[in-house]
Amino acid sequence: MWIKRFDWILMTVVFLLTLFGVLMIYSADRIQTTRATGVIYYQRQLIWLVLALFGLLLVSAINTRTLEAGSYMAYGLAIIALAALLVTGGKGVERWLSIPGTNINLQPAELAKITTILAFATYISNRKKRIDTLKDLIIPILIVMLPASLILLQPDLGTSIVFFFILYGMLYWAGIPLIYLFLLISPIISFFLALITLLGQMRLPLWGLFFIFLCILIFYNRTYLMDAVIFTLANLFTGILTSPLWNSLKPYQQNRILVFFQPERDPQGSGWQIIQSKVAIGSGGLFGKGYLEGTQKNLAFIPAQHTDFIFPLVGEEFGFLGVAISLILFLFLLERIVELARISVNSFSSLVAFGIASFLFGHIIINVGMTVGVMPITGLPLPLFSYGGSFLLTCYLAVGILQRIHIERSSI
Amino acid sequence: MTYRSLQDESISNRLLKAQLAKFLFLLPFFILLIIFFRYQVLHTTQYSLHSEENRLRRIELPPPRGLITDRSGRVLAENIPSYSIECYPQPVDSMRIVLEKLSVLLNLDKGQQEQLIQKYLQRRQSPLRVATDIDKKTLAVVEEHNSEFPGILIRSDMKRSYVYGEQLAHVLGYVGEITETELEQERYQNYTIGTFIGRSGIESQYEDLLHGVRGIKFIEVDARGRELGPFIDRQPIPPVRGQDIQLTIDIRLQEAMYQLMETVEIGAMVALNPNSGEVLAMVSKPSFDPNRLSSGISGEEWRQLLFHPNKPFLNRAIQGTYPPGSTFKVFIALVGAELGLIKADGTGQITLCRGGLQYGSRFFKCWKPGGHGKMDYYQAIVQSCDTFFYQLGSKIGLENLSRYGKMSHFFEKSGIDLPNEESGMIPDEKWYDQNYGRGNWGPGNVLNLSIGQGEISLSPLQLVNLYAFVSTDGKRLRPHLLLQDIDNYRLPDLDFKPQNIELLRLPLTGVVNEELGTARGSKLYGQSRQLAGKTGTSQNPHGDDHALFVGFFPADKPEIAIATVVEHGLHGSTVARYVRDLVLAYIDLKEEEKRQEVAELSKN
Repeated sequence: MWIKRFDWILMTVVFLLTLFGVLMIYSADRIQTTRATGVIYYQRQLIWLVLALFGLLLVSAINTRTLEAGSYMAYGLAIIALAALLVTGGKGVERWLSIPGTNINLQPAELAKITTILAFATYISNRKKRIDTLKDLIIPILIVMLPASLILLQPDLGTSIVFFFILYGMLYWAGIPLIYLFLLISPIISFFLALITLLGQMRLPLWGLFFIFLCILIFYNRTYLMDAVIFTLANLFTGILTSPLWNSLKPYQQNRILVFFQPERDPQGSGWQIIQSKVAIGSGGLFGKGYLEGTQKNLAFIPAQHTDFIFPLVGEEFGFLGVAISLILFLFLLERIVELARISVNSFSSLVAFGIASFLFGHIIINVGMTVGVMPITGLPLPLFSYGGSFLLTCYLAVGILQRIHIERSSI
Repeated sequence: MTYRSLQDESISNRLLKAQLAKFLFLLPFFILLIIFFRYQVLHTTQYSLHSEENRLRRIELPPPRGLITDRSGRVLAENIPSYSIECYPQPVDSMRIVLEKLSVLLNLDKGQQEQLIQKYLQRRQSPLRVATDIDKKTLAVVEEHNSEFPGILIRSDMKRSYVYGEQLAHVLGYVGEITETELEQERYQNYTIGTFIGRSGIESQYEDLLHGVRGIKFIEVDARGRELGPFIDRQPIPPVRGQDIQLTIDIRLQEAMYQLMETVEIGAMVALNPNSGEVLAMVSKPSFDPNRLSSGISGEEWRQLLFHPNKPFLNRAIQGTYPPGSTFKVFIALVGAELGLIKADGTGQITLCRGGLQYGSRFFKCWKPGGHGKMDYYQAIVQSCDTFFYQLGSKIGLENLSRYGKMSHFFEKSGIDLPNEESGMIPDEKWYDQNYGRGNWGPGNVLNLSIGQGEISLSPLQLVNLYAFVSTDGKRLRPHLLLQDIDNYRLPDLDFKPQNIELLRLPLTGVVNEELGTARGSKLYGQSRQLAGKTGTSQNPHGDDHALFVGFFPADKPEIAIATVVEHGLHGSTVARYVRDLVLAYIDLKEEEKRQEVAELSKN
């Protein structure tokens, strides 16, 4: 049996985190508002877990070569599903695609993360030439940007940010020089610096200083002339276009960014979640108030506490101890996956493993970070923890792939 | 299996990359742990407190206000249930929707809705009061369609109700909701938002007694401020009801007085017991309905009352001061007697009235053009001869007049227990020098003062206080409204000789009861006891003269003293009838009381 050759340490960590998550969802269920709606989330999560385990077993039985061969097709299907959502969905947030004949609703955006990782890995590992200039990066960037933009149009800012983590992580692992990674991100840094200058948070012409620094860097690095020109212009334009760009954002998006800088701006509105989340976490203390004893939770002080804001519950009921244990488990999981990526014999597998690590890392850092106000509220769930069928399935499928990679490595 | 290496990759290179990646993953986790450590270990106390406060809401309960009753315990001001509609705190947009839905029912126009939203934005944690004192029909509709109006709450409160409405408005005053600025004042530190406080009259004067002590209850609320029920761990502190107070007012007499004044547009009347200083009835016209003011009057209605040319909020019995006209002659006669210018045996000043008095270059007219003929002080009061008093006043002189005026305290605030009493006024040389300039006034002014005209002024209450003093041969009591032992209101005797005060009572009886008396039309027929008093006309440079009458009953052993002023009422003899009618009402009430007492006794 192939299951015997699983990485059982990895598997144990995954199970521990999932069970911890179900416990927290059960706790979150016991609030008055949910009781009124009659929805019991933890039971649904358990049903999804069974489904996800089947998915895991199924995927772990598929050879990575088969995965590689089918990756473009899966990628294409995911793109079609995302595009279909945009066409069929009306105005506003439309993230669900119901599978005809069933009661199941899937979020294509979740599954697109896996297909994108696979497609990206397939492309890079099959390239004959080195990636040296910006031109060589066009296709890999497009592979990630296409689903990311479709998701951004839904609009789901958080999930598209995760694609950014995937792109970055995998480019790094593929061996792109660090200077290029920096240059790639520089227009975004330009945007934020220009924004801070624009909004008058700081007197210093921050963006200007950054731009000068960038020019010097490009010059000394002897970047290809064409690339140097592109990066310089890109930064110049974002710096100049920040103001119209900012104004094109929807007020609630602007507000989220602003509230991220100053939660006290709007203690009842967007800042509310952050403040209440901090209170829940802070009041938990070292050992927490005890399981099911969270008072903030009991009174529905934290919105979305089954999904995006489940971590404050850990903080409130299990205290710093619970937080530290979960974070260490997550870190251990990530390090274990990186190790798997390192020892994988085949560059496709290695890239896929590292892509999955980057994707999980993005989710964890943004989700946990936003509960203490160091990351903007983007609506990202916590892997394995948060309630949400599609996402749980995605995570387990990813773990299935990781197990397969582990099996193949140990079979050489 | 073919080995495809990533670009530039050797085994050691890959190890390096993995180690850097592991470190880059570890770093943010480490930072997050530090942040959580700060919140959960270093600052946990602060957040724990915050978390307690979050779910615990302290609700301050305004105490029920004390009742106000009249002298025989009849309720004048009470608390009755009223219902108001409140909206739970919620996002502004959904608040707008709820208001929109309610607008049909409550007749809220766009502007009022926006005003409410603005009010809500200032206090987003507390429920927003949308409508107060809604009628039963609206209440029924809202309760029936409760599910259609999510997030609203029907709150039952007590509201102040004035049983006799505008009849007693100036005495009781009214209450209004405490304002934000007032809440910050030290005087109101024990008050809570939503409390009604006295805005004028007795309600304001005895605010401290009537208010009581606020209570506190603790409730559990959810994140949006929705009430989940009482908080079990903390006992509520019930509010303590304010003290009930009993007034000296006799509401039946008050009703009779208000009825008498029905046709009077502007004026005042006040009755008190000269033996105790107890104010029995007090009316000022025009009046207002205190019930409207206490249950949320519209801004427009309020402005109309406030800027009405007849000033309905002015309590003319204590805030309207008028030249006393001939009613003042009593005081001149008293000062004359003190100075030995007139005597009880009639041997003092005798004046021949030929219709006036030539004084220097000016002729001072008597009100009776043909003249009164030979006048002693007695007839001069009965017939209100001006000539006699011109002469007497010129002999007394301004200095004596103002000295006695100040010494008697009748021209100062009486000290009644109502807010904002106006002071009367009696001028002296210094006052004339300051206001007219030295040399611009002459001894002629004192002649004018002698018949109660010019710069001299008194409120109806101060006037009746003077007559109470005269009618009781010099008893002095502070007029008051709170029923208490009268020893609290005794004032030291004045330095007037009792026989000089006594000599005034007889001519005052003559005014009403003698054939030549100016108020002979108000004589009580078929009564063993008589009314005494004095008419007066207060010259009004702005229009028709004001008419005054002040009297007491019974003339020989007074129980009640009454003063009345009717603006633009022309002559005192016309308003004397109001006083007479009030006395008749008083007699009826006393007789009924007696009958009841007899009935009580025979029952036992």
